[in-house]
Amino acid sequence: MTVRFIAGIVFALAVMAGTLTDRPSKAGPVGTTVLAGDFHVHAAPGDGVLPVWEIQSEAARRGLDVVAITNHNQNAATRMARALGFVDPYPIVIPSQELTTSGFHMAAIGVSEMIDWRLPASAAIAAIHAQGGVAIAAHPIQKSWVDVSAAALRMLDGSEVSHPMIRGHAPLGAELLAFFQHTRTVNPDLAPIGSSDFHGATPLGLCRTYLIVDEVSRAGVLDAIRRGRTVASGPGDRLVGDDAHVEAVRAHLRRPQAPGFGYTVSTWLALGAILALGVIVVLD
Amino acid sequence: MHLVSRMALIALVIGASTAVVGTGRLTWSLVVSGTLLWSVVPLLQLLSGVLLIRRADRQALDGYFSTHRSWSMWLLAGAAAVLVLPDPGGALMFLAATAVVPIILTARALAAFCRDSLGLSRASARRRVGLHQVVTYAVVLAYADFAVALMPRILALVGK
Repeated sequence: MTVRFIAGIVFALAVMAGTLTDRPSKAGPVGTTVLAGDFHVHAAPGDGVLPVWEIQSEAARRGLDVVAITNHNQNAATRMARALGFVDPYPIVIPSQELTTSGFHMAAIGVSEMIDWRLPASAAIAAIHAQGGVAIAAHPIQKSWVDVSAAALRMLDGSEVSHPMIRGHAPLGAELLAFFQHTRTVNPDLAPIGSSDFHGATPLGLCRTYLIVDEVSRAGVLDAIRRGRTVASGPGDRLVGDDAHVEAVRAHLRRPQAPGFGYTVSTWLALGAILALGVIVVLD
Repeated sequence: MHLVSRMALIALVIGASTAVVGTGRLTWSLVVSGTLLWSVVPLLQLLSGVLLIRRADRQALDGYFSTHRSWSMWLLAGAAAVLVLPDPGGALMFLAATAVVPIILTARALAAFCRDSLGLSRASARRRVGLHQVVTYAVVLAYADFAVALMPRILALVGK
């Protein structure tokens, strides 16, 4: 029995144990009016590391009710997942786009036809709305939002105020908040949004949005964003939103997300599997 | 290890590593999904290997695929780092920068393969590897354009 064979057995056993200890809940919320969502998630194929169906499972593990798949100017990942029939009804997965232009990035939530990146912001938002979607300013710090008109700000539905980029970078957090507060003076229903901008390494839902919904559905989620009935959460226990909404959300809060994956049984099993795989590669 | 087994191992390494980086855990679903999804990588490597070797020689291709080790170890080390670091997202730039190590080591391994297994002169080996690396990173660039929308970012950098 070679070392490589033993390493293969160790890998298989570790993965099996990891599977047995994994119990993501896909049952769906019952009787709740507060949902947790992540509206800025990247998938594979694209610049995310996970396919859509595994993002859905991970969303269930992390207590998220809804995720939006926002790859840059393309939606191949969502189309592939739907064609394969691998997407369950819950957590809700909303096909979307991170509209990536030279002057701004925008999360176009709920669009099936990709928005042309050459459009100015106001025309892009109009195109998003024409598809029944909502437009969220993605990480609108000064250096990444340079070309946006006042008209566009009035048309936005949401703005990211919680984003992992602000960890250890307080000035960036201040910029996000300043953009939100300034835009709200001309757009009172602007929804505060928290997003993880998930690609990998930083956990899904590290920053998230709590939504006060009338119905647990894609339509209910989009309606909550349009009406500004959201609370942005994270990093840690930071909450941004209207006082009444924050109060409504507090009773439903899941525990704050740690910046990493934590040191659980699953972590050590995965580490064992990775080390076993490393032995196989070294001996190849 | 046989050619097909080696290609399967590469796909498995990429699939398992990306699953860990995305979730901090491994399940059979994650392993199978990731391995199948990223199996396109060893297939593309096979095509570029035929370009390097200039023939579809199974034994030579088997030797060519043995140069995967640097990249595979880098992926696995990155996955392990994500598991043990308290804030892996914060170390992402540093982890990405270490890719220069497998870039250099793989080019050197390919050159050694060309000299030792294909019997090429030092100069011919450098030319072949140079062409191979140009094609490889052109494919990487094409995927990057698809994945991150390079054109608007380039326009933003040059100020339109």
